Amino acid sequence: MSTAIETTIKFEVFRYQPDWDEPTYQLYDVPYREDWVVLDALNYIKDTVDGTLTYRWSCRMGVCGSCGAMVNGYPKLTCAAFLSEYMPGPIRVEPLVNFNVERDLVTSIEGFMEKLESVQPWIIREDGATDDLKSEYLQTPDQHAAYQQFSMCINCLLCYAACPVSSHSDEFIGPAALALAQRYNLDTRDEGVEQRRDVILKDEGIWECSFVGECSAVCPKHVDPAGAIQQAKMTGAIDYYRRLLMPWTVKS
Amino acid sequence: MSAVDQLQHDVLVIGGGGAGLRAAIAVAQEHPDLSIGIVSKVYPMRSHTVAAEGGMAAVIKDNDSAEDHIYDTISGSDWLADQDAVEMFVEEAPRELIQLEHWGCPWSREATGHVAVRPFGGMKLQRTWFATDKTGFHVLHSLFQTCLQFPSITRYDEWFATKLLVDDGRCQGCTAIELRTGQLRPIYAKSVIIATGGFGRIFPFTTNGAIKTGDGLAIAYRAGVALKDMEFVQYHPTGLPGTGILITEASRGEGGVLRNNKGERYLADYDLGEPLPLDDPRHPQLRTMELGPRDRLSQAFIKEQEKGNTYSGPYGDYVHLDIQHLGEHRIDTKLPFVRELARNYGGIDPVTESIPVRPVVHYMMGGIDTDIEAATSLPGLYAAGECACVSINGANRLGSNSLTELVVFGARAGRNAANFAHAADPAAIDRLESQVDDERARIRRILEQPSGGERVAELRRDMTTTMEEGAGIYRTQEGIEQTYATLSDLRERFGSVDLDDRTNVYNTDLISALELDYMLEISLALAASARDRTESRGSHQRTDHPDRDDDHFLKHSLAMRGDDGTPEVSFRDVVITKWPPGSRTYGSSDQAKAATTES
Amino acid sequence: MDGEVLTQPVFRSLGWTWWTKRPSYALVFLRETSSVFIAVQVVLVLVLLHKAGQPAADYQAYLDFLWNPGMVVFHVVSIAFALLHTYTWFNLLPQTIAIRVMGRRIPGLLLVAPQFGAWAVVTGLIIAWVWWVGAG
Ligand SMILES: Cc1cc2nc3c(=O)[nH]c(=O)nc-3n(C[C@H](O)[C@H](O)[C@H](O)COP(=O)(O)OP(=O)(O)OC[C@H]3O[C@@H](n4cnc5c(N)ncnc54)[C@H](O)[C@@H]3O)c2cc1C
Ligand code: SF4
Ligand code: FES
Repeated sequence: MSTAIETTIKFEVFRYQPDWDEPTYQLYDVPYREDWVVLDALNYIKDTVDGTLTYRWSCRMGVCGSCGAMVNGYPKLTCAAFLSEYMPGPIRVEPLVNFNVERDLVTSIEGFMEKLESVQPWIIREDGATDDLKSEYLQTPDQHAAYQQFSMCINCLLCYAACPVSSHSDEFIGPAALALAQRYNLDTRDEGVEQRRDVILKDEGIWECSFVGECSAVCPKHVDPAGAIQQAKMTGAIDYYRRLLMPWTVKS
Repeated sequence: MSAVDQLQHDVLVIGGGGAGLRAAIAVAQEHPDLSIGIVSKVYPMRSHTVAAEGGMAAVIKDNDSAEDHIYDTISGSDWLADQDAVEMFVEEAPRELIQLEHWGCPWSREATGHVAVRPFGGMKLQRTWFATDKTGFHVLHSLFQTCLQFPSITRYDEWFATKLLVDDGRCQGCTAIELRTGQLRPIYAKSVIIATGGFGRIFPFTTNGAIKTGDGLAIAYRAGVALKDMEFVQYHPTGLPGTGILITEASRGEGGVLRNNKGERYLADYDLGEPLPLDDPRHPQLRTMELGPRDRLSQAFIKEQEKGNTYSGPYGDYVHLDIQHLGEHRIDTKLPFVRELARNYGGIDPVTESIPVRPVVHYMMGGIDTDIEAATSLPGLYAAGECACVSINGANRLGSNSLTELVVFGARAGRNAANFAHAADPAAIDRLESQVDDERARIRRILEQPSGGERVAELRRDMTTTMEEGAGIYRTQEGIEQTYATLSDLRERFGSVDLDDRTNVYNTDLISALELDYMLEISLALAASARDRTESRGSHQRTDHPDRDDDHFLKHSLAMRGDDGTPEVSFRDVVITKWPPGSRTYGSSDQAKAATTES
Repeated sequence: MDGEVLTQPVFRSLGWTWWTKRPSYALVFLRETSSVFIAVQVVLVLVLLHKAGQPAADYQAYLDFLWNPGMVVFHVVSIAFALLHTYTWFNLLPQTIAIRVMGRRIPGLLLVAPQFGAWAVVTGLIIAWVWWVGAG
C-alpha cells in the first residue's frame, strides 16, 4: 500500500480523423515507469483511457519497423524511446512527417512501397532460370561484410521523415530504397547493376540527394543510407567518366 | 457490385510472413499463369517472422546426416511427431535453404565462402544456418523482396481476414476488412492457404508480437477444420523479464550458461548431463546442459523457483544467463542483437554482466490439422507455418526447426494449392454472397452494438491471466477446468463488448475485438485438449499424471468445434515409421546411448 | 462496412523552413549557403585578374573597392564560410568512400586526417610564399 503520489508524465498526442477539418493535439496523463517506452504509454492510453487512439505496432523489440513516430519533433521508434529520456515531459507524439496521415499516428506508406519495388531489390542472375539449387553460391566473410550494413534496414521510414529532400519531392526515391539498391549492387551474388542503373541514376535517384545526412543520424539500425547514396554517386561518377573517356572498357 | 469489380484470384494466401510469402512465390514461379492474392493484416515485412533470431536448421555439412536430424527432431518431439512428415521435412530442408541463399539471404559465412552453421538446443550436431542473430529478419526481407518481382502476385496489405467462404464442401475465398477504409469485402479464390502464424498472445508473457493472435486457426476451426495438438505450448527458457523479449538460444549455442542465485549451473541437477568448465574446448556440448531441449530447461526453472534458487525482481523470478566469457568481439560478431536488446530493454551490457532471464511463452506446436501435403480436411484449404500442425514438432519443437518448416511446408502448400486451383472451377460467387452479408452483419453488430460495458483490454487481460494460471508450464486437472470455465465465461462477456471506436478508417479497436474473439475461441480448444490429455509429454506436463503414457496417448489430439460452439476432443494415432518411442535422454547418458546405437 | 468510405489524408511535411528546425539542419543549410559566398569570391578574384591588365588607375579603384568596410566584412564572412565548408566536407568523406582492408572498413579518422594534414601543408606553403613575396 503506497500512499505516495504516483509520478505521471504528460502526453500530447496528434489526433486526426478523415472527417475532421483539421488535426488537434489531445492531452493524456500517463503513469511514469522507468522502464516504459513511448509505445507502452500509447498502449496504456488505448487500453485504459481512450480506445480510439490509432497507431501501428507489433514486435515491440525494434525489428518490425512499424511503430515510427515523431517524438518531441524527432523521428523515433516508439518502442525504443524510453520515457526516462524525456522526463519531466511533456512528450509530444506525432505521425512521421513527409507522409500523408490517414488517421492519428497512421501514415500512408504506399508511395514508399512503390519506390522500394522500383529499385528491383532482389538477386538478378543471368543463370536464374537454370538454377539447380545443388549448392550455395560462395561468398567470403569479407564479401558479405561489404554490403551487410545496407541489408539491415527495417523499413521504419524514420529516414524519410528526417529528409528535407523527401519533404519537397514526392518522387525522390529516398534513403532507405536507395540504400537497398546499393545493398544488392554490392552483393557478389547479384548481376543486376545494369538493370538498376537507370532508376538509381535518374533525376529522382541519387543525384537529388544533397547530403544532409540526417537520415543516417536518425536511423535506428545504423544502416547509413546517406553513405550508401554517396558511395553510389561516387561509383556513378566514375562510371560516367569511364563511359565518356574510355568507351571501349564498357560492356554493351 | 458487378462481377468485374469482384476481387478474385486462383490462389489466395492469408498471411504474409515467411510461410505465406514462400507459398506465394512457389505458385508464382512454378505456375506463372495463376493469379495470386496475399492478404496480410500488416505489411508483410512487419510479420513476426522478422523477430526470429537464432537460425534455421538443415543438413548441409559433410559430418551431418539426414538420419541425425530426423532422430533429433523426433526425440525432441517426445515421439509425437509424425515420422513420415519429419523424414520428408529433413530431406527437403537443404534445398529450401539453398533456395533462400540464391534469393539473397545474407547467411553468415565460413572463410571458405560456404555458409556457417552453429549449435542449437537438442541438436546432436551443428546444423543451424544463421544470419548473425537476425535470421528471421533477413529471411523475411529476402522473401518479401523476392516476391516483389512477380507480376502475378497482388498484395492486400493491411487487410484483415475474418472468415473463410465455403460452398459445396470446398473453400472458395475469405472475407477481409480493408483497414484503410473499413470496408469488408469478399476475396474469391479457387484455393486458399492459411499462413497466419502463431498465437502466443493468448498468454500474458510472450516473445510474440501483437499480431500473433491466431486468427487463422479460429477461422479454419469455425469452418469445420480440426485444431491439432493444441495443448503443446513451448516456453522458451530465456526471455527478458518484463517485456518478454527473447534472448536467442544461439547465445547458449555460442557457449552461454545458466546460473541460479547461488551461482550454480543448476541444469546439472535435472538429468541434462555434466557441466564442462567454460574453458574446456569441448564446451558447449551438444544435446547437453544448456543445449538441452526447451521444455526440459523451462521445467527446470520452475523446480529451481520452488527450491528458492531464483532471483526475484519486479517482474517475477529469474535466473542468470551468462555470456561474458565469450568476450566482446565474439558477442559483437555472433550475437550483436542480443547485446542490443539486453542493453536497450534489460538495461545491462552482457559483455560485463549476466542477463536476467525467465521462461516465456514462445511457440505453439499445435495448429490447424494438415497432412504431409499441407492440405486440411476441407478441400481447397491448405495451411503452413506456425498456424499449421503437420506435425513435425510433436510435443516440443526444436529451436531452428520452425523457420525451416515455414519454407518447406510453405512451398508445398503453394504447389498443392496451385494444382488444386488448376483443376477447380471458379468460386460460385452468387451462392457465396449471402455468407458475405452474414459476416458483414456479425461485424456490424460488434461495431455498433449499444454500450454493453465490457472493455476489450480487460477481457484480454483476464484471458491471458487464466491461461497462465491453468495452462502454464505445469498443469492439473483442476487448474485446467477452472481455466476452461473462466474462458467460457469470458466468451459470454465478449457478447457485451463495448467499443470506444465506432468509425471506419483504421479502426484498430474493432480489430482488437475481433482478435480477442478468435483468441477466446482457440484458447478454449487448447484448454479442452490439455484437459483430455491425461499424461505428461514434452511441453505438456500434468503434475497429476507425471508420466508419458504411450499406450493411450501416442496420439494427436484433435479439437473440433461442436454445434454449440464448444470444442470436442478426439485422438488420432501418430505415424511411426522407423523410430519406435524411446526414452528421451540428454547429456552423458545420451552420448552413451548414441554410442551404443552407432556401434 | 460497405459502400464508399471517405478517406482524406492530410499531408504534413518539414516545410520550407526545415533548416530552422534543428541545429544539424541549420549547419547543412550554412554549408550549402557557403557555396554562394565562395562563388562570389571567385568572381571577385577573376575581376581582379582582369583589372590587373587594365590601366593602373582602374586597378587601384578596384582595390579601393575591395578595401571598403562592407567588402572587408564580406571577406571575413566568406572566409568563415569557406572554412566551414571545407571542414564539413572533409568530415563527410568516410561516408562517401568505403575502403575495406583485410575485411574491416578502415576507420573514418584515417580518411579524414590526411585531408586536414594536406590542407594544413598547402595553407602553410601559401602563407610562406606570400610572406616571401611580401618580404622580397
Ligand atoms: C522472438 C522469436 C524468435 C524466434 N526465433 C526462431 C529461430 O531462431 N529459429 C526458428 O526456427 N524459429 C524461431 N522462431 C519461431 C518462428 O519465427 C515462427 O514460428 C515463424 O516465424 C512463424 O512464421 P509464419 O509465417 O507462420 O507467421 P508470421 O511470420 O507470424 O506471419 C503471420 C502472417 O499472417 C498475417 N495474418 C495473421 N492474421 C491475419 C488476419 N486475420 N488477416 C490477414 N492476415 C493475417 C500477418 O499479417 C502475418 O503476415 C522465433 C519466434 C519468435 C517469436
Ligand atoms: S534506412 Fe534506417 S531509418 Fe531508413 S527505413 Fe531503413 S532502418 Fe529505418
Ligand atoms: S513495434 Fe516493431 S519496431 Fe517498434
